[in-house]
Amino acid sequence: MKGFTTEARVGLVVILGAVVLAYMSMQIGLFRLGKEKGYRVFVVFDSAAGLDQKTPIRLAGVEVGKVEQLELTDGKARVTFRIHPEYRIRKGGKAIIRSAGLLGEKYVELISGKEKNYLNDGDTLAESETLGDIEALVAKFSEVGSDIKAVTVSLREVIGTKQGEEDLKSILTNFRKFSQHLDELIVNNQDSVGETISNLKEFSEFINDDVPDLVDSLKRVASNLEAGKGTIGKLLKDDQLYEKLNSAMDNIQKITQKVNNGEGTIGKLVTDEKAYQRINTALESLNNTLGRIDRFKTSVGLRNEYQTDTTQKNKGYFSVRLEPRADKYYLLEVVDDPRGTVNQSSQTTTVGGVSTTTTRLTTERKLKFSLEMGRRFNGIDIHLGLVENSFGVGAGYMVFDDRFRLGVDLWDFNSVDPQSPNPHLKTTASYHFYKYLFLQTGYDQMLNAGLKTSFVGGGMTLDDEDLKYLFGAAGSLVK
Amino acid sequence: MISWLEKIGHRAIEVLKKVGEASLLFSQALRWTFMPPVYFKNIIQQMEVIGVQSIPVVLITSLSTGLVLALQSYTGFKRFHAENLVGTVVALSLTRELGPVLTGLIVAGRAGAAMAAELGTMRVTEQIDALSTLAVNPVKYLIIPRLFAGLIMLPILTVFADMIGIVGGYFISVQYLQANPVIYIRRTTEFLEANDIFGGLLKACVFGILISVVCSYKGFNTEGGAVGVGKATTGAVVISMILILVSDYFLTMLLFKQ
Amino acid sequence: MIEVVDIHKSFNSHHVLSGVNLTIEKGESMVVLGGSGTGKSVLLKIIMGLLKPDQGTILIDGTEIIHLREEKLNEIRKKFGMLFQGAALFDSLSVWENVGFGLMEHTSLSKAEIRNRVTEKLAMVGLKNIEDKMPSELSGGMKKRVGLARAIAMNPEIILYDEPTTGLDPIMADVINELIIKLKHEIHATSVAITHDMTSAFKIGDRLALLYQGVIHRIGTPEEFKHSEDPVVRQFVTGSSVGPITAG
Repeated sequence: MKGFTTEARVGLVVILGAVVLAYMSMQIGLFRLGKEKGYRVFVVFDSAAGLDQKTPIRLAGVEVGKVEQLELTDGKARVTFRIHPEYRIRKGGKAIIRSAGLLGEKYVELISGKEKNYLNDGDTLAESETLGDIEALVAKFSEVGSDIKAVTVSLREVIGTKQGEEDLKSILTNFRKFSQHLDELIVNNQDSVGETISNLKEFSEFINDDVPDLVDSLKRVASNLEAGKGTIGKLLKDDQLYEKLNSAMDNIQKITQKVNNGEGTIGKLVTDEKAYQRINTALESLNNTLGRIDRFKTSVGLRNEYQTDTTQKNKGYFSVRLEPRADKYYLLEVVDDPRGTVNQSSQTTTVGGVSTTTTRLTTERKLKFSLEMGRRFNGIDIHLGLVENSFGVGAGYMVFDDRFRLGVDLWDFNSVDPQSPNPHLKTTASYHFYKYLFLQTGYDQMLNAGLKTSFVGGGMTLDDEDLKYLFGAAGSLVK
Repeated sequence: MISWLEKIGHRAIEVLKKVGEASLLFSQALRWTFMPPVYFKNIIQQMEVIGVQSIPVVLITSLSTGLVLALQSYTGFKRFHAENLVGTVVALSLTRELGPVLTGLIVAGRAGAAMAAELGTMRVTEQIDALSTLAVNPVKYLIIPRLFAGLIMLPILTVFADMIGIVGGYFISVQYLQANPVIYIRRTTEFLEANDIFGGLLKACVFGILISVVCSYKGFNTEGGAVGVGKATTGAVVISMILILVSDYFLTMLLFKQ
Repeated sequence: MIEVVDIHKSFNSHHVLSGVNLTIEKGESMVVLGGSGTGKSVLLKIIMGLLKPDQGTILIDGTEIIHLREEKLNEIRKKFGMLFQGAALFDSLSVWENVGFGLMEHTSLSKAEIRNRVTEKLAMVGLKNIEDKMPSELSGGMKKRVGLARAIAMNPEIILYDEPTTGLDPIMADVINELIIKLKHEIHATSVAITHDMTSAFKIGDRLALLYQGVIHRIGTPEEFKHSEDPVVRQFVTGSSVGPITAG
């Protein structure tokens, strides 16, 4: 700063420093400018525990002043409050020392008095209490504690004596026995009780609904029987029949006897322990297998591809996919390929010593099958096996929570189809939306120029949960 | 083995000798302070160099310190819901420790180095002898002004450092950390005591004297040409800084023990 | 009058001065000769009181200065003016502030008066219009002359020259020599110069003293030295590398 001499600069800095220092000192209350604002009120506490200079004084939660000074008079603490001039406090109130929080920061709570006059500078507040909130709580606990004590004392007298102990013991034993009996009773008769109850129910229903009709029918039957009408009537009256029945009974009896004795095949079967075991085991394993099958995740799907550059456009697929584990799967597909299978057949005809061989290509639109086995590693899956009636491999990569898949398939390495000399390479991009629907697009026959095409397609899949649901619904429809 | 011990002993004696010489210089300076002539112009000049010119650096350092301190204590204290204490912590740390110490270190680096270098060069070019031939006491002319400048300006710089640091802490707490401004200011002023501020200033005075004595001594007793000047300068700064930190410990014990 | 009595001084067991005795009469111009590192500067500083000898004493006009306290010493120093080898100008002050330094500190003259005096002294050493330049802007020769102006600013009774011509080109060296002679005649100050420049020595010295091996080997007039048979003196005067000085 030109013109601002060295002395001036230094002087300025020194003065500035002194000013800042003075400001800071004032802020921390080292010295005050002018007279102290506010008025003083004195209070005497039994104990000024935790009070300090500058401890806030609150009335109805609003800070009205600060503690200014603490003195000892006559073994008690005389505290000087400095109350802000704008607050007026009625006489006859009370000052209580309280704790504000768990850390125990103390403050003074002023309770305004009910007298008409207000406190002035130099007045003394008569009533004071030294009770923190925590302390009040502790006092309360103390009271409860003594009550509890009283109860335990009388309890002790009752139970604590020898006689009391004995009595208590016998009561408990009896009670235990009784509850045991009750328990057994209930267990033993649980079924009967249940049955009885349901029987009663049925019976009462039966009586209600059917008895009147029954009574009528019975009446009719009875009268028929009486008259010897009807089969039973005849039976009843027919002595011959009776004889026959008797002997039939005897025979049956003889057979059952034999069965019981283990004679005859059925008898053996029925009475043979081992046979019984074996059947049991077979049933169990059947159960397991079924169970395991049950644990397979199965999904079934249908899709169609519309090929843009070929004459016959649509190729349809029906697929079943089994996933015994999360990373292993089997894929079975039935493919309806418009191009069909091409077979080469050669015929040799000899005409007049000249042999001509004609090769014919026959195209059959047959259904094709794929059966592949695949493994999955995180987002990548690889499969191989029979693809559309030939050996093939494929791989795919899934992202976005398996909703989007990019796949590559390669099969039919030794085709006889003249238009498809190179293996069949197909790339597909699929996008699954909703749970069941998906869209596809891709390139097919990328290595065979004559057959190269792009395609779009879509389809739907259902998994076993859905199938169960469907079949269940179907089942109930049948009923 | 023996020769190694000898070396250590030799070194120790050297160091003590230098300490003794420096103390002698200091006491000489003290003695001559009160005897005329007093070179006021030089004192003012040195106050400008040491004090006024250090203000920008001190302010920046202190502001950053205040900001960082507030930021760090806030995140730490938040963990047990004591965010209200940030103002207090910033104010106390600055006035008692960081204000004087950081200012001292900065001035040692800036003005102390300049002192040592200037005096060293003067010594090496015989200017100090020339002063003597002109019947002017070089200690009075050169060293005492620097001592006084250090003694007076360092506390002043510290006052500025304290203020700016606290203001910085306030700003970042209120603007960025969403602290309540009224509570922040109250916490700052409530728990800050005169003892904190003035204790810090006392430290600053001691540091000022240390810097001046060490750097002047080193410069005054330079030997060996330009190389000597360089050595003297770095030595002066390093020793001043070490002494500041060590004496800080002792002063803290003395001033702030409970 | 300056009396150097039996001065001994060593630095780190290197005995530089081992009993120097010399008397310099008032108003005379004494040149102390000696090779480099023989202690000439040390002797000069001891005479000035800048260094304290290990043994011996210095008397300035009868007053022993060795044991004087700083304040009294300063009083004596006001009688001196010294020209340093490198001029030792205060680089933070301008030329006139340098030259007028002593006047500013020790007299109550006004700035204007001091400036006038400064201009005077500068004129005496042949310099004009450089009062407001800074020492860094001056050439070696100019610096030396300003230094000389500063040394004589207070009209001292004794002037000491530390290698006054060393480092100057022959023309400037002669200018300095002439100045020294001029001052001798105009101010009548006692002067003690140390040098190894024989031309300068012969020109400015009333008497020459050869400092050799820590003592004053020989004192004499320039004529006596020129025709001396003393081999040491011979070697020094002729400036030969062969001789007792280098053989020893």
